[in-house]
Amino acid sequence: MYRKFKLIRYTLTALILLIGVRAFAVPSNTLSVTPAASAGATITASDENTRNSGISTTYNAHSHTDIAAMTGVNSFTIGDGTAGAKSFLVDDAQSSSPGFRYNNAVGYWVLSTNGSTFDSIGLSSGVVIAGENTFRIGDNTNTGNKRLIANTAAATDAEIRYNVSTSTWQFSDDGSTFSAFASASGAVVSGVNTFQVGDGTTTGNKQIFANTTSGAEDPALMYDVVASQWKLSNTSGTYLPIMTSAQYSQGSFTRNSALSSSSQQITGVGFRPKVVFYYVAESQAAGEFGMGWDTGATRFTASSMHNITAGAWIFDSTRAVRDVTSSGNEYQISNTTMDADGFTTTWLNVGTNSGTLDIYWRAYGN
Amino acid sequence: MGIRTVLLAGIFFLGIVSISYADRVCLKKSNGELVEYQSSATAGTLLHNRELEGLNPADYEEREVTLDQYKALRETWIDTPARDMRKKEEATRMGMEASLKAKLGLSDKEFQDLKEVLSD
Repeated sequence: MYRKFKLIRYTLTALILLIGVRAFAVPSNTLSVTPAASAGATITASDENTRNSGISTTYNAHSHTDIAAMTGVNSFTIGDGTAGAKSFLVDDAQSSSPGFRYNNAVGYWVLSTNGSTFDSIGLSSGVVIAGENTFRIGDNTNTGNKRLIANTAAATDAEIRYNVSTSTWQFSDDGSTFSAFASASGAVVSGVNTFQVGDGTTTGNKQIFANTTSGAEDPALMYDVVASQWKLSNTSGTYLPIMTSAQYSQGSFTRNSALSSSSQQITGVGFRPKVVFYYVAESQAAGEFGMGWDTGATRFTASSMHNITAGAWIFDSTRAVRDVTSSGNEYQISNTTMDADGFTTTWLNVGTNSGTLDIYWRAYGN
Repeated sequence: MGIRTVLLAGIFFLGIVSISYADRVCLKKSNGELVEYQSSATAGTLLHNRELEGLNPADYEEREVTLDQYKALRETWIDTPARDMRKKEEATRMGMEASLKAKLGLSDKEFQDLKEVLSD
């Protein structure tokens, strides 16, 4: 009776073990060996065989091939709880096993296709790819732009993309409006008709430089925000205004030289002059002639001094014109200010003068 | 009248009215004296210049003129007075020369030589 009972118990234990191994995909980390030894009991061959059978049956039923049996768990942990690399490797008959591992020494995951060289596959320190010169993104099709997006808190993130429709690299600071990068083919900017430089303010000149090795400041095109004018520099950072068009105009006016010192506005020029040339004479008056020019900042005249010294001329870099009536009596242009549609002449009455001056002018602008 | 004629007439009209530059004169209202001329001024410029001279613009009239009209005004108010003044100055100078020549007892040739020497 006792033997029958023991047989049934062993049989049930064996069945439970077998059923248990097959029922749970993930191998159990516990194994009960029966019959349990007890003090004073005699260990029989049958006991040994039963124990061996229980162990070998469980062992033989254990599988390493069905990793899918991990289904149902959310984490899978390897490692011995100490520092050192933790690896997932593939045995593909190479001399070393390729795989990926967590490199505990540097704190990031590494990947290897030969089991020898391991490259970073992303890490918290910011290095995207270590040990590689090429990084590809895309699905190997011409469908859909290939995009790198900055992950920010903005509603639409900034982005760099390859536009497969226009075959150009583009960027966007707001994730919405895209501008083309410069093209390596020589075109300054490909795919767009407008190229802007500047920070959207009127503070600071806007410049485009030629990248040379001259050692001095590179040649540049500059928009002078103070002068509201494009300027050009070929060397040494010296900028000269660009004449955008050959503007010039000419005309005449009169001035009663008996008038006291005051200004006279001339309009109808059609643009803001850069320089005004004057040719002045008094009707019917012998020896009263002068000519000169004025930029508003600098001026010069060559005027007749015949009425002081016969046949003599005076050259003066402080006046644009000197109409000399006699010694100590002159009617002069001392300054010219440039206006949007002309200029304003400042007359200086020195001494006593009379008669009407005819002034013929020619103005140049850009 | 075809549409083309209307368009051309419109363009011509717009061309005329858009040109604001003109020969302008400024005249003193009290006597019509020519005070200033500009060949291409915009309206109001010459009256503004009276203000710059410290005068009352209300005393003056600005008018757009043709070149012929300007020449006529100029002849009246600039060239004729200038010629008259030059004649007067010349007459004064001739009288002075005649008086000096008589006082010095010089012939015309000698007096002319004296003038040339003094002018060098």
